[in-house]
Amino acid sequence: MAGKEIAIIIVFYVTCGVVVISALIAVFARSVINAAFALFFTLCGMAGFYFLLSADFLAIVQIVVYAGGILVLLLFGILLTHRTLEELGIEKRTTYIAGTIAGLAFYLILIFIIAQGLWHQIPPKPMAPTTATIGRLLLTKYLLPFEISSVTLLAALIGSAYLVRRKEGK
Amino acid sequence: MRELIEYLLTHVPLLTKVPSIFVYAVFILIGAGVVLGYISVMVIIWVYLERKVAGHIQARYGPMRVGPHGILQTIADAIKLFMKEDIIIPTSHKVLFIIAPFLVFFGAFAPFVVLPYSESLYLSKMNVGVFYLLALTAFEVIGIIMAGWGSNNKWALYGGMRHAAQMICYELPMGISVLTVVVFTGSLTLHGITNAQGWLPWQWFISPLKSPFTFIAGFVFYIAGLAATKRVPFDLPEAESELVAGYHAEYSGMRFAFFFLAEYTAMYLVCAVTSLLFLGGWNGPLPRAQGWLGNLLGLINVLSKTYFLLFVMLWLRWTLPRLRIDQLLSTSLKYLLPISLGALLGAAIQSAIF
Amino acid sequence: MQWTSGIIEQLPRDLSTIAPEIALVITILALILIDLLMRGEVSFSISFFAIIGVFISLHLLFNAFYNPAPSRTAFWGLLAVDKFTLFLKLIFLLSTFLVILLTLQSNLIYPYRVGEYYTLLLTATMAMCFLVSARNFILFYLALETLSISSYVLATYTKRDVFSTEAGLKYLIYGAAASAVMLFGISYLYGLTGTLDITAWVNVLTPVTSLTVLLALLLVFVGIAFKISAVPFHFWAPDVYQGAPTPITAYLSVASKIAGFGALFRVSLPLFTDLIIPGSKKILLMLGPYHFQFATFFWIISVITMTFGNLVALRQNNLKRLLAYSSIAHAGYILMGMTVLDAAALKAMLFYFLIYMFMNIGAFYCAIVLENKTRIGDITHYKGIVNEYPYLVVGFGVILFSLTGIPPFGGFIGKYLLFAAVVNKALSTPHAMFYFSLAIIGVLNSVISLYYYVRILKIMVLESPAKKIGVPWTPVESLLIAIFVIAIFYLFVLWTQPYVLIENVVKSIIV
Repeated sequence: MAGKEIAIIIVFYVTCGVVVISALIAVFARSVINAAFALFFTLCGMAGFYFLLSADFLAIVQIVVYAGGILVLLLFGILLTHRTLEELGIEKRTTYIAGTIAGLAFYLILIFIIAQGLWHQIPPKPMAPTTATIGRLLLTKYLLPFEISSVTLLAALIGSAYLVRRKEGK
Repeated sequence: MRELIEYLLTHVPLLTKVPSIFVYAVFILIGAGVVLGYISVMVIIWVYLERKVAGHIQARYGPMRVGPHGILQTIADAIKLFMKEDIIIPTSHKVLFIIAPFLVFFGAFAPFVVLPYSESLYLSKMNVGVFYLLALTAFEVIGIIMAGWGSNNKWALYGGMRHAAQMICYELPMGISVLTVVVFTGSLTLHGITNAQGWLPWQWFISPLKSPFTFIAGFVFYIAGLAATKRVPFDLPEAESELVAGYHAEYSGMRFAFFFLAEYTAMYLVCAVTSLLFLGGWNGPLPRAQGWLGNLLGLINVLSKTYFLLFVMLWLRWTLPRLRIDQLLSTSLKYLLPISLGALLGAAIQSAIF
Repeated sequence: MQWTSGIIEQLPRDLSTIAPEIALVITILALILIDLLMRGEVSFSISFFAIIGVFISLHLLFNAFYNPAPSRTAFWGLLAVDKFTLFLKLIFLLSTFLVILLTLQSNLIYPYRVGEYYTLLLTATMAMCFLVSARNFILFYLALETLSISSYVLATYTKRDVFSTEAGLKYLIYGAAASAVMLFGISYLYGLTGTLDITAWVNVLTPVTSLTVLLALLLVFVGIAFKISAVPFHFWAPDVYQGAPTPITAYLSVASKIAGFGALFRVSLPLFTDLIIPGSKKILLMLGPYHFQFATFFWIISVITMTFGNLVALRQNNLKRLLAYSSIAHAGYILMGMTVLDAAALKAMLFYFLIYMFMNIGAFYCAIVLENKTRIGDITHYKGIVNEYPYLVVGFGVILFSLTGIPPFGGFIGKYLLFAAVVNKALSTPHAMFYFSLAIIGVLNSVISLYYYVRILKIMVLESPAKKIGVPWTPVESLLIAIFVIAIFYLFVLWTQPYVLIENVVKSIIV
């Protein structure tokens, strides 16, 4: 079905455009809140990529966790801080240049790896439900990381609750 | 939907001549149009009913002038909304101000893709259905914060922030109570969940006979749904007496209509999902049938349950006072969340033992 | 339910291999409950329970040590089960125990809640235990993140202190960046090989490999180098070590650093040597006409790290900051062993971990005592302190000389073994100058370090005191100092005893 492939290619490039443009806005926006809103489109675009790679569950998780959870918290944090934060920015030229050079170097390394790497390739698979497979793997092969992640979350929870606690009760 | 297109592609000779991608595109657009039309009509009817119910609960008549018993009142209102000037206030953040209503509307509109009305009356059988429904609330939240910030109005911003806080809190018990059901069905599709319930009321997940834990989860889900749709007693984001109109205070004309439509759509959605997850969906005590009659009966079942739940929402609106923000947060985090976690634990134990 | 069939038989056996970690997790949960029930009133009893938890874990560790598990891996190949990791876990648990003792002595943590403190400390310890035994990068990364998250909060634990908050924030930002870079590397390696299993890479990556693999591995090493504060990624260390509460500084500079080295072993041993997988070809990376070997990479990092650490330490006046730079330098010494990476070097590094644990935690204990007495972290304020606290200065002197690596102290044996491994390697390869130069630079660095270590003692002993401090010396302090001093002398005089154990440990993984 050639039509379907063309459709997928069109969707892929549209998603690419959304991700790249919104990521650039997120990085270069002067105001924090614009960056945060642009990030929303980046995250949704990433979910779109997962859909295109037939990872439907992962795509939804991406939206639930990042767009629905983390980003909302991020925005909430920004809205609660003082408005003048908007005017904060890197004004010093030296840091700006150094940052640009370091960023470009890192970017070139990444591009080099992507361009030159002999990538391990798997044949494309049709869209199939992945939820059950993920669940099974989490309870068999990746049981240990799955359980450790609960301790990680507990530690993060305790740590953040401690840090934001206003009164240090003895 | 896909089955329908494939059926048509193989059986209608004319369609095989054009590239299938166009056929798909056209049918997807038709599907979207049908949903949009359905939503608009449903909202118009529903707003009329809301006014009437509100009137009668308060021992008055409600709208009476436009048409017999005021039946054309909402249509007149809709026309008025379309005719209004589209104001983009000059001090606003233009881009955010313009994008926001579309995001909110998308978040309310896209879930209709997975809502089934009967065994064969549906648009898509996405295998992460329920999860997809929960994910799309993200668009609504971001859209509302965007509207609040973009309006450059402190009341709007308060509304947006309240909504963000409310959503963060109530998404958790909502998701967990959905999980409580999923524990029993082993399927995330709304089809699988509905088919796991029988056609008699005590075979539905709301029945304590089926499982006491989904019984609890059903109530938690509905309450969290009330909060997610900003209905009384959780209507803090747009509390008229405190915040003018909350996050959409600066919107007018069509842009306001988008918010309005999204709000009512979200209400409908919560009720429809509750009816599918907990009230048996298209299963009902009506006699069963195959073919188009079965579809019709399924539709009647789903809609009657949904509209009953919508009526409960109205009923609550004129019964309960609004909560304070701290009461709202503690309702979710101190009561609903532990209760839903307990229900999930119980459900897991029940499904493991029995 | 077919997919559950194999699990029921496998799970009990696998769980028994992580018994020490399970004991730690149970302790963590118990601490939360105890803290809740006591409403944070009796801080001492919580420390007591934490110590009990660590001891139970140690007991289970020794059990595992003397009753080796039948399989070398557990949990579907995610976890390595060998004496080597058990030895590293032993060091983590011992240093956690010592850090708890330091916490009881420190006045810094006391005004804050301690329940959360011990919870996070033990979580970090558990994460280290999993980090050094991870054979799969999912577990590896998760353990590293758990360790990092707990460390961020611990570093900023005295949150009313501005420096502590700054330390935590800096640590968080640098840590997040390093971990993101590392994740990039892992994702590329996964893309290049199609597996996350570190040992499976040996078969996939060919001996003469492309530059892309080198760069991807470098990205992974960024994350690890951050943990061991090797030089291009050390920027966080001085500020965090100075700002964090002192027991946590001791913990970060010892346990966290050794965990970083454990992670380095996990990646390096199968990929760069044929020590643990027989017949595996070393990964030799082709860079144009030159052969770039991992040893060159570690040589450069090692030399920069120790030279930088020692040279900057010369100019420090704050005791904790000085010790921070000194611990960067020590990371450089240990990296000499990574350059050689044969059996002798492994033994030397393990021994160095052992002695480094006692020396460095001991040094930070002295810093805590000085902090408690004077409330000042500046060395120039410790003039003539020997008149008032002779035991402290004697103990501190022993520890500092041991850090330098001077003969009658344990630090000498550690350094001797490391240099011996380097020189032996130099004598047995055609690239003699490569290794000899490393040894020479290492010796020169030790000489430089003598200056700033002795300078502390000079201020304490030779200069005349400004005024009397007047805070009394307690017997507990004598006891704790004695523990460190005895450990240091023990590791010099009877060093063969632990060394036999270490030989046994290294022999168990080398095939």
